[in-house]
Amino acid sequence: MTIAMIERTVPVGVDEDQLARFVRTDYSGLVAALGLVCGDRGAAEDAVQEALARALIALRKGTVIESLPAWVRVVALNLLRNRWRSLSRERRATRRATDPVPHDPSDDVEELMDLRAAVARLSRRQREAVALYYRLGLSVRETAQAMRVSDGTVKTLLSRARATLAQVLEPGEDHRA
Amino acid sequence: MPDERFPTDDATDARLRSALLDVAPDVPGSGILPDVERRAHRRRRRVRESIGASAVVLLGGLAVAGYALETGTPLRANGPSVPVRPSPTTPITGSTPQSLSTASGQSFSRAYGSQPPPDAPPCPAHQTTPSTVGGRFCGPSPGPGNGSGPDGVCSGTETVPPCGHGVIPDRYYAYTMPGTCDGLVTFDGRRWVSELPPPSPSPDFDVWIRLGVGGSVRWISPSGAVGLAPYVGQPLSGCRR
Repeated sequence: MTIAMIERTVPVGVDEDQLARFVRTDYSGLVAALGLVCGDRGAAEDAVQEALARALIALRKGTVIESLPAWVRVVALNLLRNRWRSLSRERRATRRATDPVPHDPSDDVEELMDLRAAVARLSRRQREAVALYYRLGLSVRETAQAMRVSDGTVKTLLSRARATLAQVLEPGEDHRA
Repeated sequence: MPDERFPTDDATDARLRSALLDVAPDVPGSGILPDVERRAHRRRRRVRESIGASAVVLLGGLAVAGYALETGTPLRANGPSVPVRPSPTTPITGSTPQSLSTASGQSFSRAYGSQPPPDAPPCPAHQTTPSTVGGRFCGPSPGPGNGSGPDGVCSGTETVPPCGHGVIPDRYYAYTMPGTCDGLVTFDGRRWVSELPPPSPSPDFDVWIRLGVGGSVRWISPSGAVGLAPYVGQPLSGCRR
């Protein structure tokens, strides 16, 4: 078999309708939910599109993807985690080099009054659980599958996150310290 | 069922869902498929380039090793030099140029997906339209296109689809793909570039071509499937051999 034949014989495996369906029904919500996780909608959009591109390549290689939305969720979440890790390393290095002044936690009390800020103050895993369960509307099981953790872990994360966020949502109460 | 790890609190849950919808509203997803297609194309190209670079490094290393074995030149790699000499009792294999090219050829075969595709469900009986469900081409074999060029290739002067403008999205058209190395084709009155142009001139061949709902273009045939990107003046590949 010549190289030309090898290159022509790319296995047929793409059901492009899967992608079009995903974009119509799942894309918007997933980007919004992952934007909540990372606090940067552009980064979320980038991660989801990159995950879709990888799905496209996998499909064209003949890989069978049983549930494209679930596949893209997991890959996009992993991409965001990797990005978050590298950003954290950069921030730590920058802080060591340029910001020796200790951070005053009281500066953040004002931000906690806002739900977005409260979400941002959750731990990363709590944010992921909140975004997938509350914003994207997944079940506990689906959330656990996307995060690659157990159902019990998701329940614990959600319970703690809800307790924190409920304080912000309480009507008529002043939570300022 | 109530769970002490996540006790039911419907009121808070509903308010949280509603509030988070306000905090993180939906974003429009229309028109992203061409972007996804371009990303996939770039990613495949990067993989191919890295495979090519690895092959060059591997061949170079093995060539040096082969030369050293033939001449008895000591090799040094971050440590004390070790004289390498052929032993009369241990035949040296795998270092001749012929065997090197075979090894590299096999790795290229794997990289370009020449392994048989995974098992796919059988095609439905009496299928009248082409499709690529489950990794298998199904439907009628494509015939030649209606272009005015040789074999039915689009010449760029046609006024009717699929060569000319007016292609209906999501519909397959019989089309003759030219076997030129630049991968440049005319479809729907526009110019497109194949994502996998042939490395050497090859005969024209018949495919089914379709304009996707997202604006992507792709051809399928019993021998494979390849995407096309809009031609916007980007450098075209030439024949590699």
